Amino acid sequence: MGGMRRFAIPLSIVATLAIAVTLFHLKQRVGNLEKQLSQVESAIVEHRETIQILRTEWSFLNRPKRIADLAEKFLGMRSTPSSRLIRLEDLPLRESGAGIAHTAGTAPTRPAPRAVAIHAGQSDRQIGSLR
Amino acid sequence: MKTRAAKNARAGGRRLPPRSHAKHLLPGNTATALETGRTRLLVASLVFALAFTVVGGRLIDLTLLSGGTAPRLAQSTASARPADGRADIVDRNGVVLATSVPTASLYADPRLIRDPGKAATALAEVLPGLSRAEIRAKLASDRGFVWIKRNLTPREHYEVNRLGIPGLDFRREVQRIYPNERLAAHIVGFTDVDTEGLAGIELSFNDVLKDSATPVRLSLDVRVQHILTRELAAAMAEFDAIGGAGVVLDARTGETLAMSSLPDFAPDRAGTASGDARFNRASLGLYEMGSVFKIFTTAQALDSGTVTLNDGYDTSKPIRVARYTITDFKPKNRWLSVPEIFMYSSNIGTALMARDAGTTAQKTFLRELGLTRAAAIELGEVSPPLLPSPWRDINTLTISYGHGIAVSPLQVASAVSAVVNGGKMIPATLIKRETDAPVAGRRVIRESTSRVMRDLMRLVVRNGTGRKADAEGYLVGGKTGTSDKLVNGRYARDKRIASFVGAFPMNDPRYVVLIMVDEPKGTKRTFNYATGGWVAAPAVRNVVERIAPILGVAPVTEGFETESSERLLVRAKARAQQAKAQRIAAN
Repeated sequence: MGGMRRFAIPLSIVATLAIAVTLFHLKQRVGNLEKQLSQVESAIVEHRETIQILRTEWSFLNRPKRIADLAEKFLGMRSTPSSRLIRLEDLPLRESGAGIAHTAGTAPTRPAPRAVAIHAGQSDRQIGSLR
Repeated sequence: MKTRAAKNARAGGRRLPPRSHAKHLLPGNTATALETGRTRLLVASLVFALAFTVVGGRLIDLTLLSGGTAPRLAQSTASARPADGRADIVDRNGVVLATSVPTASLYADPRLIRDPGKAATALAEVLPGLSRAEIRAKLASDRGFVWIKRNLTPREHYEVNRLGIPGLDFRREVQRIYPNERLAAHIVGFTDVDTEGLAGIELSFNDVLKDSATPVRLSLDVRVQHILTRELAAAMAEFDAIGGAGVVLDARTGETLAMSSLPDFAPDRAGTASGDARFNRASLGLYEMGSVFKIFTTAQALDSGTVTLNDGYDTSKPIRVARYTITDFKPKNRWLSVPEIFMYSSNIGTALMARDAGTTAQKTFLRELGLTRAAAIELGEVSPPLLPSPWRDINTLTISYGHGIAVSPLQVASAVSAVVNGGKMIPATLIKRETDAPVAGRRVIRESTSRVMRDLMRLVVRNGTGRKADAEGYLVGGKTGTSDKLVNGRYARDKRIASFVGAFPMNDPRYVVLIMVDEPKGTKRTFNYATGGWVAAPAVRNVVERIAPILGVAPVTEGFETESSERLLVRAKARAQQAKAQRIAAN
């Protein structure tokens, strides 16, 4: 122990310098991260506001009257009388006697029954939709 | 004795005394002080060395050994308080009915404006609605602060900013926006400049909206609201009416899917709207609803056993009490069975039924149906019904067919709901129910009575005065109501309320639809009739046809009909024949 005493002071100085440098470096890093965090947080607030405005705009564009007017004007849609509504269970099976499950494996030559139900007999745009 | 000093002296005095012996030369206190000092120094330096080792070790730990990584999961920054100071109001499907958005409000410091004229010209171009002169006057004043325009649109904000005029600045303000404009304006309500609620849900839920960030979810469905309002407006337009009200209720839960009142207003300009437009006729207006009350009289009479379906009354002679005469609108002038009295809406028959049931029974029943107090709905705009005081026999007679008592359309819809849903009174609510558990209501009539009433109401639509309400496939049942309005204490012949309240599908009612039209005038097409059957019933049919698919009510296939209502009709007719035969035999 006594023989090392001549290194004690230089060692302490070197250690102090090392600690100071590391500490400073660490502090810089933390400072940068904090700055980044604050930037991200204010960006979040701004984006939230933008989302809010967009949601409001969306609700405005989706109001029933506007959609109804547009549907009537551009799609020629009318309301559906109950006579045009049909349930899947009420559809007759195919002529060949094969059930729906049977034709699942083969390539369909006609649209699936559900599609038939919706467009039953319609080639024009009289498909009902609700205003 | 040979001392060192003596030795040194002999050596010429040049040799210094050896250090180890200096102790003996100094006084004792100094020696120990030095010793203590040296020890303390050692201890202190050891402590510091230790501290710095710890710091150094921790630094190595943090920088090299990644012991200080950030937590993996970000913490939510959403606060419990609403983002812009006020929570949203949404419909049952989440459609936004009221929301707050941040806007920029433009102000100026006129002292910093160098050229007010030029600035005013530039601003007038960009800000519609403000004249150049107005802006110039503001900019040329000698105040330190003046608003130019508040709550700019994002585009206006951008354009003004681009002008780059010094002396102008923006302040962030929050504006309440109603994306659906007039739709459900009476329900949603509106706020003042400081976003404090003044009417509707904005008022009744003001504190909740300010404190909690979760949106207030109403039971309304904007699609149903739109359809109801549109059909009501169409009926009002066709019959040149001054106003109207409509309600759609869920018969099982009491949820209000739609409540309309016309004329209506735009909530963002509520200040300039007339009092008449802001008046919620559905919940605040009180009207003598007329024959729809026969639902309640008949239900009560049947439930209490006062009459059975086989009983009936002679309606050939008008009732005369004191100065009043009670007659039928379209007299059949014969004995009518109870089902026929209901089907053909006979005032005489109903009044006689009520007389037999008694005043107390009537009062109690109407109270249980919620018709004697203000509606318990989450709106401030409700009023207590107008009841006769005292409630005498003559009142009992007229109240049986809906005259002499004034209630709101909402309350009538709610009461009808109780009659058709199996007999449980469930108060109407404007807040969406979050559970699917069945609602605990108060029982007002037996289930069997409710089923009979459903059949009777179905007969009204199949064979009676409500034929125009029959929406194909949806088994609509209901009751028409036409009542003359009271003007200066007298019934006016040319002013009336025409209403129809119906429920569908009548084999298991899910929804109740009520439409009331205020002062409809007959047209050529309707042969100058402006009764409930001509004015309100068709509107209800249109509403039912359009809302049924939205609400998931499937139409029944052809040929299906509630057999019970068929049988009831057959029996009623047979009974009438029987009574006629009896009368002939007796004479």
